[in-house]
Amino acid sequence: MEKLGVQPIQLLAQIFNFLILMVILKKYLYKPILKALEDRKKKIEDGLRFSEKAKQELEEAEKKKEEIVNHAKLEAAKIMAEAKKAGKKKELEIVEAAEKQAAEVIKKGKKDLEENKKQMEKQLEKETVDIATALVEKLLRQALSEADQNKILEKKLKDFARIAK
Amino acid sequence: MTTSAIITSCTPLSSIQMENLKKSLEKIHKTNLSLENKIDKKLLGGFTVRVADWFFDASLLTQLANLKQEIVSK
Repeated sequence: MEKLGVQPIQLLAQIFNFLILMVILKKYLYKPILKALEDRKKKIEDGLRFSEKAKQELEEAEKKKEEIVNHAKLEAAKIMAEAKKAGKKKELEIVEAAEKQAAEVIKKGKKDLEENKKQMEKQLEKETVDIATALVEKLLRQALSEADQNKILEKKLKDFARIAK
Repeated sequence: MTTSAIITSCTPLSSIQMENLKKSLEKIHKTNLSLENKIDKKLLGGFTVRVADWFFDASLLTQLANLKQEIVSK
């Protein structure tokens, strides 16, 4: 070893120094560094966990949002369908009411027409009879002689006498 | 007591007709009547009698009016 230039005692002293350095370094440097690293690692892990949780919560929120939107869409569609159905029903009701009203108007119109016709017929009949009786009266006035008048008077008096008995 | 009876006709009643009518009317009214004959050509024929509120119509004009009414009311 000496030929190689290595002094055993010096070597031993160096090994001893190194060991002492190692012990000191381990106690005052490595441990705090390791602890700091450990803490750092833990913080990072916590951060990652928090980030993961936040991501998960965000996803859940997105999912929930989507559910709410879908539900709202379904509700809207349902309301639209119901409104359409109600509108259709109302439309049918209006059409039905209008048809009924029209039928009533037609019925009333026919009735009025019939009544007017009857009234006119009656009026015409009355006027015809008026004219006819007026004509008969006029003809009788012209046609009946005094002799005829006397005969009629005689007959009427006889009829009255029969009634009076 | 005598009640008056008015006879309306187109031509005047003869005295016999008046007498017969008087008898008939007195039988109906059970009283003495004094008859008066009025002429009204509008009657067309026949006669009418009025004794107070009582009225009898045997005129052609009324007969024609009744016939007209009968036709119209059918």
